[in-house]
Amino acid sequence: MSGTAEGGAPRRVERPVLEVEGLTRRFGGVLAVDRVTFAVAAGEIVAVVGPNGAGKTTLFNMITGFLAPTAGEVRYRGARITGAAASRIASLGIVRTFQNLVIFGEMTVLENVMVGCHRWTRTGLLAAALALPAAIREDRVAAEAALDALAPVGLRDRAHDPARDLPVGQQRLLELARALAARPAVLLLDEPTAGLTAAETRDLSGTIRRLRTGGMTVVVIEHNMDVVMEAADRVVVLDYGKKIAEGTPQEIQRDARVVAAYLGDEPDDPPTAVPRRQAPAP
Amino acid sequence: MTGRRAGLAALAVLLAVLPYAASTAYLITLLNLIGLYAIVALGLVLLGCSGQVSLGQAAFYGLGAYGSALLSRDLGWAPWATIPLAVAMVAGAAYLVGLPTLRLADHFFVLATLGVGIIVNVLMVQLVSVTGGASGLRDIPALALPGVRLSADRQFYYLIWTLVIVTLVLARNITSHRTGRALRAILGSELGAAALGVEVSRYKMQVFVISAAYAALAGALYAHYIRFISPSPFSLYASLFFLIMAVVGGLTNVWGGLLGAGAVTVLDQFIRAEVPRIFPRVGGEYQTTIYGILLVLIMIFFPSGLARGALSAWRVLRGASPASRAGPAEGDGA
Repeated sequence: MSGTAEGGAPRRVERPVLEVEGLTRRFGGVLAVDRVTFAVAAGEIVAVVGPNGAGKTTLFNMITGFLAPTAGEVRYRGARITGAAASRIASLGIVRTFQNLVIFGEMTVLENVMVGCHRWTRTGLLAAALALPAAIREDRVAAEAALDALAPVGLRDRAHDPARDLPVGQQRLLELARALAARPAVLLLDEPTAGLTAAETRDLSGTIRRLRTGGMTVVVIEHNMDVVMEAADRVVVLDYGKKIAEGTPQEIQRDARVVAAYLGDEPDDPPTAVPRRQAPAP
Repeated sequence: MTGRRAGLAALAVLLAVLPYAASTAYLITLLNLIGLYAIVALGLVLLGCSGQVSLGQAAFYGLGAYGSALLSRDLGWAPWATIPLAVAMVAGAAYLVGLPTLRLADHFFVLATLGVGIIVNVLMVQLVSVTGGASGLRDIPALALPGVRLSADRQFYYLIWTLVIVTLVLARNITSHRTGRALRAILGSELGAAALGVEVSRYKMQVFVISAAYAALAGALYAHYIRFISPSPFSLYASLFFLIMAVVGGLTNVWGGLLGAGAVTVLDQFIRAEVPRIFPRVGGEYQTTIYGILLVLIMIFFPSGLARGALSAWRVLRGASPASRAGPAEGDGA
């Protein structure tokens, strides 16, 4: 864990915790992600934005080991993790959520979050089979940690309900709580506000900002610009698989290429706006 | 927790007195076979908890039987030693089988286990010099305690059902705690489990090896109980039979293994005995048909298996207001 980060100065000059270098993925003739390079410092909140199909989720899939890159490299604390198994990368401390919710529907809300505790608990097959005191004790610790993780997303009183009974918005919050219960060093959130109400979205923005206070590094794919502006220290913009811009939210807002690619269909000035998708960055 | 303990205690008491209530030799033998099948079905339930299905369980059952029979008969070792040895060897064999096959996606894994089952059964028939071929192995040593030879059905009954309870408790413990949550997470979504650091392939291998060991234990006991083995009880049909037991009982509930083994065996015996009595001129294939129809009915009305179905029925019976109970009960059954 990076215990160094305290709230405050967003940018710091130290070795990045996560580095992506020249990461490329080709699907047949399509370059879904094309030589993307960026780095994330410890305690930083980085937003990855871009139009649908820009390659954001593909980028996440490669970082977290769910998809092998065609070329390029991912480094975590300076060590190369490209091509490692997804579970290995998660156990190293990079934990993600999914755009299309992945909830263990047959388990209760609490059990879902307790699976999140898998990373830092130890009970093995033998200890479980014999129900050794250590296994039972660890169950109790995990249950408490899971309840603590459910509290900030307001799901504590639904802990014992089947997870599939939750509405979609709450399932997304459950997925966040589950990822947090894993106590990751780097948290990758794939569209965490999709399906949330306006109030829930505001809450989530606040939750993400609070995570930094606890020293967590967050990379978030987000379409909601209010959330990006409020929560992110830095923004990476993808379009057609390429990184077209990187900077503070304010810089990105003013960047002409970004406006063209991402905010191009602004209703304010229809005549001059570059129609989305018609002029890909070279 | 206490409910589960009470269930186990009730089962233990029931099992202890059962031989005195059902004292015919036929019933004791039937109960013994149910116990052996229950151990195999429990292994399949463990496997089912990780979302996997095997159609090769009779192969492990048979390897356990042949392994312990050959070691004790030809090397003269005590069955007490050869049974665990055979179980360990089968577990090792399952590990080797699992290395390539567990990489396969679900239905291809099922086909691979089917293939393994067929290969092992063919080898039992063809390796005449080792297995005795289709005519089988005779004079398998009996289990013996110092001084006492375990030959009576009733003595075997207590041995088998003690082991059923032991394997049931172990399986129940494996499916709770951290390992159980990991297994159910894998069942829910392998991607989701892996994203949280659950080593999906390792867990799948563990339950596959344990399920093979369970089958081998039952097979080894069978060999020293019946004292004669031939390839036919270890054929593909037996694998199907075991899988039906696990599915009928409930593929993700350890009690399901027990219930399924009991229900399917009794059903099988009942149909064999009663159908010719009611329809005297009907051939054996009609028995199979009726058996099949009953299984389909069970799966329609208890799609999550008898264990879950019985649980929701119990909740409804005990229920408070019918309206508040109907929802969850339906949900459990669905």
